Amino acid sequence: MAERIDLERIERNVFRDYFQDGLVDMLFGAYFLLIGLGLLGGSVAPFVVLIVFFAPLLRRLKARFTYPRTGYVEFRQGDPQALPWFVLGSVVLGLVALVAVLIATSVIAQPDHWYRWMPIFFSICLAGIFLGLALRVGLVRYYVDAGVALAGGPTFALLLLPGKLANIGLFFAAVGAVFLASGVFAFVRFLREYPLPTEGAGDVAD
Amino acid sequence: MSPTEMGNTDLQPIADIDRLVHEPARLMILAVLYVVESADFTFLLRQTGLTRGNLSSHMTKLEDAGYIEVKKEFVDKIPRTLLHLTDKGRQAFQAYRKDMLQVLEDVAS
Repeated sequence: MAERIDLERIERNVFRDYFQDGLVDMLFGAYFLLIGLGLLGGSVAPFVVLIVFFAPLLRRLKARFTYPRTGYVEFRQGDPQALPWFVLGSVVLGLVALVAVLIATSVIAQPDHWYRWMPIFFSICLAGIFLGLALRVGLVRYYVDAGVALAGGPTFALLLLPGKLANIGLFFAAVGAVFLASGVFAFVRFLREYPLPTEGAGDVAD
Repeated sequence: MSPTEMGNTDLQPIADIDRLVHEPARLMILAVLYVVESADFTFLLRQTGLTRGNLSSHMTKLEDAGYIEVKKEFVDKIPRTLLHLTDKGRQAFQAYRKDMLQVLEDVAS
């Protein structure tokens, strides 16, 4: 009782529990994979709209797999959140990096080549989001995801690929596949570490 | 006999500590509920490591004091007991933290 009550650590543990199941990673990974395949195939619009199903699908999956194992929690609204600042900062940084690369490579004179460098912008945005999430919840796999996203940008931008959208398409497909695999691995481990409560040991009785 | 009656008013801050919050199990429950909007019974079981009976008993005490609100509902035919920290409970927890920090600083000095 003499130790301080570290509310930040308690809150971080609660947030970490929410992300342990890997469902967010799986859904984002699948979404980016579809976007990437759509870009490679030349038509991404049908996949972009799928984002509207993200929240309802996540809620259903959590109700089916997560809440019966870890219990149900609602987070407080309106508290200052570090993640949105990371997102905003990442977008700004990504834009700055993209413009810097475009100027450095004299691409401004060749507008058709802009698409090739788009992976750099998105890689910085994604890296920022996952780094923010990693700092918020303390899960190692989000640091790895941030690193993968950051490395993916320059890697796929430097590839000489035919087609305007090939670089960005391959970037999203590759990053999406990594996130999906990471999410599946986390989900399987979660199911093993958090078995369903035994029959009859349900909620408190009246 | 209270510290005041004994003439030792320096111990009064310790005597004034909210005993309802001060109990370790209840303190854990309040600390978890303080950082979330609401949580169900199973979630609190996992977070606190208490037994069902223990958690249930302390929940009742906190509810009777008006520090938490307990709502029983059914979700897909499965019973769920949702707990939510009231404004009174939130203030009590904040006051407890402030009082304990003061007491511990005084003891350390």
